[in-house]
Amino acid sequence: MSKKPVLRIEKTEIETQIEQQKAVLKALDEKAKGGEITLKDVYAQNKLIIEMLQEKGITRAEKARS
Amino acid sequence: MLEQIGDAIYQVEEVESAGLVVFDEKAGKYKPFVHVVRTHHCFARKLVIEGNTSTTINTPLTLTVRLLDWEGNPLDESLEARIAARGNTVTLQLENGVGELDFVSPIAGTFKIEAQADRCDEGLLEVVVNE
Repeated sequence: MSKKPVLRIEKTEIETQIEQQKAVLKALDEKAKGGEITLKDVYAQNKLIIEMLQEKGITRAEKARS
Repeated sequence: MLEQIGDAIYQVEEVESAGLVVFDEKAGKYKPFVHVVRTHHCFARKLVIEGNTSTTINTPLTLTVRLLDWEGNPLDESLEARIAARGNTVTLQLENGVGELDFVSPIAGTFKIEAQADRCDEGLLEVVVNE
């Protein structure tokens, strides 16, 4: 019998980016839990969250503009 | 009424003409001409995808693709089918009307899997991939 083909879903660029962003947020969260978070980390965390919300187009400003 | 012509099934309807008439010798009078209208109902063959409808990320899910006639009876034929989901396609060789493939997704979500072949109704299966 011939080899079974595999139908594999490829990640899109955006999905890869979201995954990376989630990984960074998770790492920062672990850091915060360990009490080692710095102001620089908090800034990076906030920046990332804003970026993610903007990508989804769900910020209040985005809604108001549409 | 359904009628098979070649590899397609047609819905057959009789529609009375609005203007044309024919002489009915038996009844001794004119009657409206009856047009026979055939519309495509389906193809004589169809593909179906069978298997579990849920899996988890990166876990292969085995799916079986079967070739059936339009009434759901298995067909013992070989053909090449295209299996696609979200722009990703593989070719599957069906032997004696059956073929197997694995479906894998690195991301969670609901995916519509389509099995297609020429002059054949397509098969659809929705698979949910959980984290």
